[in-house]
Amino acid sequence: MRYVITKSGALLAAVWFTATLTFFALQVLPGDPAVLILGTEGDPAMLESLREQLGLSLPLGQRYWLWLVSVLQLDFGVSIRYSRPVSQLMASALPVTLFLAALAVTTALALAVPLGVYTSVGRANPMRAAIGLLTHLGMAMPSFWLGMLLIQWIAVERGWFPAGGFFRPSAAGWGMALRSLLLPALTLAIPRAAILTRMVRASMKQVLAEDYIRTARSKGVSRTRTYFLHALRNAGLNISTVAAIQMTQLLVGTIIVEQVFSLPGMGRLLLAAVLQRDLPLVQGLVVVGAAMIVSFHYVFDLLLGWLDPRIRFE
Amino acid sequence: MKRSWNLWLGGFIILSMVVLVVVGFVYVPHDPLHIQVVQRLQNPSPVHWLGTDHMGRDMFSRIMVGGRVSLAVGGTAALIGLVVGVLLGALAGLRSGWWDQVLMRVADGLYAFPPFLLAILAVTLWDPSGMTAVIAITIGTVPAFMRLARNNVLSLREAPYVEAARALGAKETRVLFQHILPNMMRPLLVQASVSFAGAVLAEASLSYLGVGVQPPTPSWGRMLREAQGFAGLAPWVVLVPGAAIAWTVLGFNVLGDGLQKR
Repeated sequence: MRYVITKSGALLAAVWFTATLTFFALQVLPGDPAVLILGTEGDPAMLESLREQLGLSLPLGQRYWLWLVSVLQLDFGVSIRYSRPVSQLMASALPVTLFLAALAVTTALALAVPLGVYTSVGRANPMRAAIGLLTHLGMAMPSFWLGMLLIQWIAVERGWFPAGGFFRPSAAGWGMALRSLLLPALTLAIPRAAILTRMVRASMKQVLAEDYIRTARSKGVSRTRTYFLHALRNAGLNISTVAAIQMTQLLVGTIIVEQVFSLPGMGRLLLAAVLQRDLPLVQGLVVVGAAMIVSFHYVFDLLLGWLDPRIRFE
Repeated sequence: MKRSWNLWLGGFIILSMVVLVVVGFVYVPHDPLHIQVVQRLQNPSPVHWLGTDHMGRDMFSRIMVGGRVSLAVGGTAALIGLVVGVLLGALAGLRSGWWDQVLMRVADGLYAFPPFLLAILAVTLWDPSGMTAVIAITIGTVPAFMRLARNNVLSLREAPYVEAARALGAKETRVLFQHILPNMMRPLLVQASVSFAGAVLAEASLSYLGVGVQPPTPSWGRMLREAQGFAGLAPWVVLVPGAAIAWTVLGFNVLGDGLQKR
C-alpha cells in the first residue's frame, strides 16, 4: 500500500512538472508568442488583439494559474489554426494513435519473444545466424523508409492493404479499420522487435547459465518446459523493463509513421502544430503525451511490484 | 578469445561510406544541385550511375554530398556527447552527494525526453534548420554517456590501483585522466558507436519530416521525403537514399557490437 501511495505521488509530481515546464518553455523563452504567430511584420492592432485573445496581457503568475486550473478540467484552450478546442482535436486523434500503438506492441512482442528464445538456446546454426543478421537490419533501417517500401510493395502493387489514411470503425467497420492500421503497425513494430529480440536473447542467455536451470533439466523437466516456464519467467522481468522503455520510443515513432501513412493521429497533429506554431495545441499535446507516458510507466511499476515483491521493498 | 568479425565488418562498412563522402569533397560526377527536368527519373546508366531524381539531379552525386550531413551530425553528437557526458558523469561519480543527485536527476529527465521529440519541439521556438536538429540531437546523446561514466567511475574509484595512486599523492584530475578514464574507454567507445548510429537515424527522420536540414542542401532523409510520390515510377529514388542510411547505421551498430565483444 505504501508502495502504491509513493508511486502515485511520483506520478502526479511528474505530470505536474512536465506541464509546468512546457508552459514556461513555450510562454517565456521565445519572447512574444503573438509575434511568433503573426511574424515580426504583423499589424500592431492585430498583435494587440491576439495578445488579448491568448491572455498574454495578464501577469505571468496569474496566466500560469489560470492555465493549470483549465488543464485540470481538460480544457486546453482553442487551437489557433483550426479554431477548434484543443481537447476536441485530441479526442479525435487519440484513439487512432492508441489503436496503432497497441497493435504495434503486440506485433513486436509476438515477433521478439519466440525469436529471442529460439536464438538463445541450442548451438549456433544458419537459422540463428540469419535471425541475428535480420535484427541488425531491423535496427538499421529508418522506419519511414521501411514504411515507404511496404506501401509500394504490399499496398500499391499487390493491393492487399490500403496505402494510407485511416478508416474509422464507426464509418467503415472494424475490419477495415484494422486493415488500414496493419502496415503502419508493422512499420512501427519491426525496429522495436529487432531490439527486443536481442534483449530477450541476452536475458535468456544469462538466466540459462543459472544453477536452477541445470537442476530442472537434470531432474527430468523437458526442454520446452525449462525454457518457457523456468527461464522465460525469470528473464521476463528484465525483458519487460526494456519493453517499457521501448514503449516511449514507440509513441515517438508514431510521429513518423503517421506521417508516412497519413494517419490522423496525435503524432501528425503535433507535427502540424509545431510547423504552424499553434502554441495551445503544442502545449496540450505535450501535456497529454507526457501524462500518457508517465501513467503507462506508473501502471507498469505497480504491475512489476505486484509480480515481484522484492521491488516494493527497494 | 576469437577475433571478432563484427569489428572488421563494421569498420569496412564505415570506411566505405567515409571514403565516398570524402571523395565527394574533391570530385562529384555531376553537380548535385543542377536541375534538368528533361532528364528526370532516369534509370541507372553509365552517365548517371544511380539514375536521376524527379528534378533530373544526379542521385549518386546527391548521395555523396548528402552523406556529409549524416556523418557530420553523427560525429558531432557522438563526440560532444562523449566529452560533455564523461566530464559531467565523472563529476557526479567523484563528488557523489549533492552533485550526483542533481546531475543524475537532470540526466533522467533528459532520458525521458527522446532527442527526436526535443528536436521537433525546438521547431516551435526556432525555424527548422539543420543547426536546430544538431543541437537537439547532441543534447539528447549526453545522458547515456553521463550515466555510463558515472557508474564506471563509482566502481573504478574503489579499485586497488586507484587507491594506490591516491596514496602516492596523485591529484584528483590526474587520478581521473591517468587511471580511471583509460580503464573505462571500451564501454564509452561502444556507446559512442551506438550514439553515432542513433544520431544518423534521428537526423534522417527529422529531415524526412521537414524539420531538419532544409533544401537546397541535399540530405538522405530529405531525398526520401521528396521521392515519396515516385516510388512506383522509379523505385531507385526510394531505394538508394534509404539503403545509404541503413548501410551507415548498420556499420556503426556492428562496430559497437564488435567493440563490446572483444
